[in-house]
Amino acid sequence: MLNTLNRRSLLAALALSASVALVPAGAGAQDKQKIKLGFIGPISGGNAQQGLGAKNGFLLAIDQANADDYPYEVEGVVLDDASDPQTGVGAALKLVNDPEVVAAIGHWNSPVALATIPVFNRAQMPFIVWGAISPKITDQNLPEVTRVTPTLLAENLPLAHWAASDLGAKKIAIVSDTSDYGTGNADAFTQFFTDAGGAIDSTDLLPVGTTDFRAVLTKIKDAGADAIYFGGVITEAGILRKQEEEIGLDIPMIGISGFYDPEFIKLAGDAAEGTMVSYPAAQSNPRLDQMHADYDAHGFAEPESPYTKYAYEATNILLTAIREVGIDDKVALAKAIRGMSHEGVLGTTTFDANGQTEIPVEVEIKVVKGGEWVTLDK
Amino acid sequence: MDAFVMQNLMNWLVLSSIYALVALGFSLLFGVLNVIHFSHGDVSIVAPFVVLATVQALIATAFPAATPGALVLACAAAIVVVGLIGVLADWLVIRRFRNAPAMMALVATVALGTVIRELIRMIYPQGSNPKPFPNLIETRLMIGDLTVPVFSLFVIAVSVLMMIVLYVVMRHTPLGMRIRAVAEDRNIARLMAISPSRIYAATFFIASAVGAIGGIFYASYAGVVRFDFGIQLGLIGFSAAVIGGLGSMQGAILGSLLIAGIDTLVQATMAEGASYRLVFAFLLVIFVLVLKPSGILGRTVMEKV
Amino acid sequence: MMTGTSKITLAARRASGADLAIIAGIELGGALLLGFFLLTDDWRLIVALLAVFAAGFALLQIRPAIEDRIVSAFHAARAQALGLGAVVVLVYPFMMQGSSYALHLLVIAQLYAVLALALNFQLGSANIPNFATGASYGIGAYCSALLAIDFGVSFWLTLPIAALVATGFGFVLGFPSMRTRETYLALVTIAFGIVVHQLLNNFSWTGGPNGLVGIPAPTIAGHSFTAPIELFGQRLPSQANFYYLAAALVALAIVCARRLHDSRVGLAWNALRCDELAARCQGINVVWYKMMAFAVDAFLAAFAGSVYAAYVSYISPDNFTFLVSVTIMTMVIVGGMDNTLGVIVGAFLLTLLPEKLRIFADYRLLFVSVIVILFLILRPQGLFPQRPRSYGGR
Repeated sequence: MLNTLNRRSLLAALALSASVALVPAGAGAQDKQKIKLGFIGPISGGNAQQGLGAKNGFLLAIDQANADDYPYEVEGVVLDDASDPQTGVGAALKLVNDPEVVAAIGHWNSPVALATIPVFNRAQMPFIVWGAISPKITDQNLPEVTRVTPTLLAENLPLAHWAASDLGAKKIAIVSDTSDYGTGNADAFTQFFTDAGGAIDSTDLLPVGTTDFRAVLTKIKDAGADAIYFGGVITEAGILRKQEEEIGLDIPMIGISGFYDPEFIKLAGDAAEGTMVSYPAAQSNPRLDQMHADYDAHGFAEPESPYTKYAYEATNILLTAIREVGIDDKVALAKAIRGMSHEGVLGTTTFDANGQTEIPVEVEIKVVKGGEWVTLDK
Repeated sequence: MDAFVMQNLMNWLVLSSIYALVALGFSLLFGVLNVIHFSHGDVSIVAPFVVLATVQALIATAFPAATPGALVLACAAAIVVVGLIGVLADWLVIRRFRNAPAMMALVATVALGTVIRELIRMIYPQGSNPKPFPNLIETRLMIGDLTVPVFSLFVIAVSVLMMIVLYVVMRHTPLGMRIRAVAEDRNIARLMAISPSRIYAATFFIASAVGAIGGIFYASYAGVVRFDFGIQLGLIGFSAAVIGGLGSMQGAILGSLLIAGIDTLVQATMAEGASYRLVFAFLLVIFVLVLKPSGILGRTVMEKV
Repeated sequence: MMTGTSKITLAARRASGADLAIIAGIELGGALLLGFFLLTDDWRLIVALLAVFAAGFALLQIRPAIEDRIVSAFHAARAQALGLGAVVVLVYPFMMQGSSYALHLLVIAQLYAVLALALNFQLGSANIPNFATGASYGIGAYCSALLAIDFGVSFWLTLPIAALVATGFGFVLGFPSMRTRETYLALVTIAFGIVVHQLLNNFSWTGGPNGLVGIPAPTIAGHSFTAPIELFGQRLPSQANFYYLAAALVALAIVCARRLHDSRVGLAWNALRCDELAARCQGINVVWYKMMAFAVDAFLAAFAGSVYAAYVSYISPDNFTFLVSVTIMTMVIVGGMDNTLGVIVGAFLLTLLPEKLRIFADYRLLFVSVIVILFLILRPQGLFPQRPRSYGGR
């Protein structure tokens, strides 16, 4: 039986802790002029090179806006998703929970993006995807979500046609990874290439992180394909090309822009010569060159990644929309983004009914010549 | 067809050699110290990074370019350095769990592995990026239709050599005798004027150095190295050591042959083989352990009641 | 085994004022500490709170008498301690200042607490190293998700079905584990974990590497779990729904743990842990009890998986890797094997630390691992070591 003294002290303790907990922790004086934009991406872990480059693009755009005469003082909040859906959701909730954050951009990995967009949807916070290319993301047609990168479907189609006609390949062996990006590429290319009249000899999917492709390459050499299509990313592409040459397999290797990166040439070494990838054209853009110059001048610790410009563009789209509509009505903001026609480093960005960018994907073929990527003359 | 088979055979042997070098380290550490050193794979993968760094330092100072001389020197340096890192890891963390339940040591070494991995990523400039790793020997032989890189032969030769060396050391040298004494009974060994702590340090050095060789070969064979390659290397090396029978050198080699064999076989024969390679490798592990619970060549543990 | 033998008898005695004060102090102090930890963004405060936490345990390490006193206090005033604890848990979301982020952290921490408790049966009580808890978690989640998406089955039905499926898997896992010991057993479970993960990744009907999207949230009496709760004039974010669900699950797990621990099964497990051969000689059916351990672990893990799937509405094979199993194992070991409270604290610590140390961005993982190692060195028997069984009259 509790005697009254103890019961009282118990209640007092409860009341005390309740009142203490209700005291807001941390300053709250909101400056109307200060807003925050969020960035989520893989800045640790195996894909960090992509995330760091994109992060810098994000920060560059914000710095330029702040220097320029933007109606608000913008602060960038950078959060890591470590390519893990759960970490990504934690980051998303953190952003959504901060009343100063107006909008966000994010994700290189599709699984992470798929996990976080419901969070942004429930909070009605506008969110632009700068890297993840799974079609499922925009298929859901959540009003807050838009994407500035083309889906992999848009890139594989012209490549497949080019391979069938210009390259003259009849049988192609597909090597890819088991991620959604890799399997998506394998499926898309298979469909488009067979539609164009070619045949797929074999399809081999290896987990990301595979370092030994020799068994698969030996099999391909034996079967006698005309070319190899690789649907994965930079590291594995470099290793594959190097080992392809080592085994004495002398057929071209093609792919989409996933491994269009000087890192690939470094990794494959001399074997990189002759590799061909498709790359979205319309990139000869004075604004893009300006961005490259600004990036170098800024002196970031990391070099640019292929996604720097997408993150930069996404951030600028957000900044433009906020300038037009203001920060009070999130729904109006999302609508403004969807309806925007933005002139930027990617060309003229407009969004379709699902929030997917409509920039037509005209591809150039890039080939490695003399240790560098150059455009192939058609 | 012939070339196809020969090519795969060669792949198999080279992979086995590389795994064996790592598995030997696991076996040695478990056999002697009863320690499951989960971070062994990560320690081994430090070696290629040391090689890369040393080569760059040498080029900056003494050598004009990445000549074979520079590479050899760098590898030697890496092996010694990683051996010392192994000793350091023991001294800092692992030895505190000598008398603790085995699970504690296991979890501590898993955490230690993460620490080593993150340190590599942080200390090496742009550590998150994969680094190209030079082929130690570039020359190739043409035997009929087959391209045989001399490097593959080198790997196999070195591995066999290391196994022989380790065997000789363990069986025919005073050091080996002391190691076996400590393995058998730590306290009695102390009575025999053998210092267990020195023996532990020596064992960690040997195991880590051998693992370092494995790490360097792994990086060279793949052509690239990344800070988190140690996870898979360690996991496969560990599995090879276990199914062969922990504590048995021959077992480590046998285990490596089996795992590399399944890996190559599945990829060469099955259509979608590549995505299932890990599935089959680990199903093999389960299969072996069901049939032979202490590993194929493992000593069946006799419990005194 | 028999660590920290108490000098103070745990015989029945009436709860004194001092006892109640100790209980209130510890429970409320802990709640406050947790609250500040969750809500703050200031890294200095976070580090300070961690230091306070560690200092507390260092104190217990130096002066075991304090620990004994606290334990006897809780023992004497059990009902009051439980009551106060229940009140704190129920009221907690209202103290979170409407922060959906803090509630999210609590939900995840609680789910991991359930997983850690599940593993505790095997690892803590019976010393069976099981690295496949992540796989059971995944099977439960996928089962629940597939039933909900493809067949429109309600969450409350998928929960038990998924649990049963996972238990089946637990038995399958148990079979090869019968003959193997320790390290070899650990490897068998690791192998199983990896095989399951790869299969989930490869099969197209599990969504492959893309995973499953759009898992519906449960509804109860028309109230969907995605809608915020309005109670006593306060508005709680939708995460609160899942907070209460997860808390209920934790309570269920604790009750199971208690009942099993106090029953023949728990005794048999402990006997197995001490000496398997002797246990067998005593007539304990070793195989049956080992299988039970696997089954119970899988059962609870599947519950956690189903709730997780419904909460995040998206699962992929990467949620259930080997590293997840390792994390759960770390929670059990750091928290204290075979100690219910310890395991829960371990789970909370290891879930909240990586999130709260985001400040250190790049160095996050490094710091968490270093902290784990430090805690292991500081308290090798775990934060809350195993208590010897007490059969004092009550």
